[in-house]
Amino acid sequence: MNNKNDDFNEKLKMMAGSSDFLIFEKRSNFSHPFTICYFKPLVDPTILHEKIMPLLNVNADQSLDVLFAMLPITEKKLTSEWKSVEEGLLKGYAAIRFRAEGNQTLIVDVGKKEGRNVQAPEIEFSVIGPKEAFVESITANLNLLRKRLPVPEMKTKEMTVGNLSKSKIAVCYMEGITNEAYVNTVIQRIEGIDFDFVLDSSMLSEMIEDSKKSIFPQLLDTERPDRVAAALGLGQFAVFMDGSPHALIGPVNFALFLVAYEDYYLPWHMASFFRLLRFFAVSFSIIASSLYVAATSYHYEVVSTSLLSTLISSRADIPFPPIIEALVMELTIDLLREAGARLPSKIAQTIGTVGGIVIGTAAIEAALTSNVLLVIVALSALASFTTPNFRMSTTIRILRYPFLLGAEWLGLLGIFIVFAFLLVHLLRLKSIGAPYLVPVYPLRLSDLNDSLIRLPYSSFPRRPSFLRTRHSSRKSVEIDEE
Amino acid sequence: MAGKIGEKSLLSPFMAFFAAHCMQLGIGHLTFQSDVAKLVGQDSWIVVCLTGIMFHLVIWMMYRVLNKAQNDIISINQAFFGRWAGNVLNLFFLGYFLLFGGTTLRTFIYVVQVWLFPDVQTWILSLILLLLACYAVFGGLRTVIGVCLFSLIHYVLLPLHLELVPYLHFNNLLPAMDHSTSEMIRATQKMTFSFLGLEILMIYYPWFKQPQKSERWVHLANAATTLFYLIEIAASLTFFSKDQLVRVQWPTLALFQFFRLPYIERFEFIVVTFNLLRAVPILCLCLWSASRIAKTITRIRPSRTVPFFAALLAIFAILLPDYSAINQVHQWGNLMGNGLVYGYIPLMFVLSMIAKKVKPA
Repeated sequence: MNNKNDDFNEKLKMMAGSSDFLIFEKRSNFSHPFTICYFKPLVDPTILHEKIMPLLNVNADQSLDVLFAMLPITEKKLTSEWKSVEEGLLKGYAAIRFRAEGNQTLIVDVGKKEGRNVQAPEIEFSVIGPKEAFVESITANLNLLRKRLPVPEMKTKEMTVGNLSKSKIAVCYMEGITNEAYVNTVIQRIEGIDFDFVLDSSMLSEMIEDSKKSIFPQLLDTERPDRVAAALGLGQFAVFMDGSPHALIGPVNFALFLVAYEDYYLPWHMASFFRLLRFFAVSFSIIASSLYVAATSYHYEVVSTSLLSTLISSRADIPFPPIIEALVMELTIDLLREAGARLPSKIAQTIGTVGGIVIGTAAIEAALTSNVLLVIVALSALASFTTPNFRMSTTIRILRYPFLLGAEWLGLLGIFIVFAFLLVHLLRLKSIGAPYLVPVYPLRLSDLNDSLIRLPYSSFPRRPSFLRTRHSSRKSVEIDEE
Repeated sequence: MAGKIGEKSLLSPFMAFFAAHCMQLGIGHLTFQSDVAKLVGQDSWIVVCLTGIMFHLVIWMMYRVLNKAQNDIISINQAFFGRWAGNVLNLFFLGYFLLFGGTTLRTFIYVVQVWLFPDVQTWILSLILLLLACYAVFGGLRTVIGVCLFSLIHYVLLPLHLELVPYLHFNNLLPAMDHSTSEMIRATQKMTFSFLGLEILMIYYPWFKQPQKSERWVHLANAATTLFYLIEIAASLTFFSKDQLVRVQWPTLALFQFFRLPYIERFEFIVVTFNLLRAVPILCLCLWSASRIAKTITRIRPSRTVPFFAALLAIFAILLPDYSAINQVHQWGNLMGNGLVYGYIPLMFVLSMIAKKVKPA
């Protein structure tokens, strides 16, 4: 016993090797000496001094059990295992020990809760609808979620990943709605992670996705609590991570990446219009410049005479073949975008001036590019930014390069070949085991009402069938299963 | 033998529609009008209907055999003819599907070479298309049928035929029924080539949930094919005069040459490109079934046989230098297909009626 006690003290001493670890021993004018230790940067001194110290000073002659019952803090534990003591200390707990009670240690949460306040969403901004976005603290995020789902069916499962980062992760799902197979798969994959640092949900998402080779995101990241709440209600699961202001939603399909959550707050006609618009924008953005290259390099005949004369006159002075012209312009747009993303926001405004006016006009005047192509490239860049999800929009920007190369190789046929490869890739892709192109393939007619269009809410009596929910009716009255 | 298909990989029966329909709508649709018109002229549309009806009959017989055995044709062959003779028949099927895929591949490339890029090498296009097909086949049957579904995009070009309506001469269809029975039969045999492909369902049968239910979808697929060919043949017969139609080598593409939209002309280029979407699913379906047969007979994993068969198809495509060679292969394919559809399947139907119970192989 005594030996073990020394061991405990040894370990505490070892921790004290770090100068921000504090061991405070009170022994002089007390018959019952005690020790309190904690990491200075992690604890909130106000709590420590206002709630714990007065109690300790008066009740030091009691046992730890009594003290435990008296402490006005919920997160506390009485333990004699070094492992949980260490864990607690590293999370901002204070450890209180009475010399008389040996290894018995009372750990109590006095952690400093620092972090941003809840702010309006910046990436998924909406004009209508709630203006709350997740922050870095997982407790605050779960609070935002629980407020929207005040039912006991919402369960969370907490885990820790990262050998060094020890990041806290919570998988949330609805018991009785979410298919356990999906939840178990994601939990299993998270448990399988063996890596030192997992710092953000985007890293986590890359580690648990089905296909690591794919450039398509297979889990949806969102900063909107309303979106997560609705997703849980539909039978999806959500993964939160401490330190990340984005939750991951899965299983998802391709169409969900073209959904801005505001679609659900707008009247359904407008929502459907905007969704179709986004879909056409994405298609346009992927193939517009490669169609230009195909038409100008190979298929003059396909373009009608009136349009052809415009094309030819704009290209008359250009010394480069269309593919070089198009590649240079596409790369310029990506350069502008990347420069804008890396620069501090105040300087970034100049990028607009430099990019839009100087490079655009000057390139045409210098006969480096045709104005038709410039319009096409600018429009397709604009179109690619309509994608509500950032990761999907980067994917779409990258996708246009293979299409350009295909167009250069075999014109329209080359574009089709690249398209076929893309299609097969998407057909093979899965999100936590659910097919990526659902509801188009496998065809699920009942899910089409909320895919590229959004029909009125009265047309959604059931949860999406591709989620294989345990309970498919969305109304309190049961609907007969077909 | 093939009963070890996991519950999870089973497909819904309606997917049989896409597999059957895509397999039928091959490259044949580019040329069939003039081939048939050479024999029966204005009565070609009747031949299309007749062949369609014949195929409904064939599907019906096919499903009687399959429903009774509740298994694919590979096992049925083994059960009926014994292990050795059955496997020889299965090898015939394997060769047939490879020939089917190889012909489609080479014809597609030939059309590209004639209409779009005379300089493109056969081997490079074969390589790319077969890589694509292998990529899809490795994704499993579900992916392959997904490719079939998306290949139906080519139907967006169908409404363009409406633009032809003012220029059609329905007088060309008269006099109706002006040909002898033997001429009609020979034309039907010729037409059969464009309808072939349904036989693949004999391999896919056990992969559907409640496979009996896939029958009506296959009938529907055949009906859709018949309707599609009817539209094409009617447009060709009434747009071209008979003498002209017989001389046009690519009637479908020649029709599309006529269309124009405000900013797009020369639609045949786009049609040739869309043909890629007809060729790729056929390649996938053929490679998949060939590897399935190989797996059942020899137990070699598809991951080995699929690249091997793909290489065979590529070599096959490279070895066919010009249209006369391709046409020769078409004739073989047509002969094999005719034998299969009008000989083998009725034979199996009769045998399966006689046999009391098919014993499991």
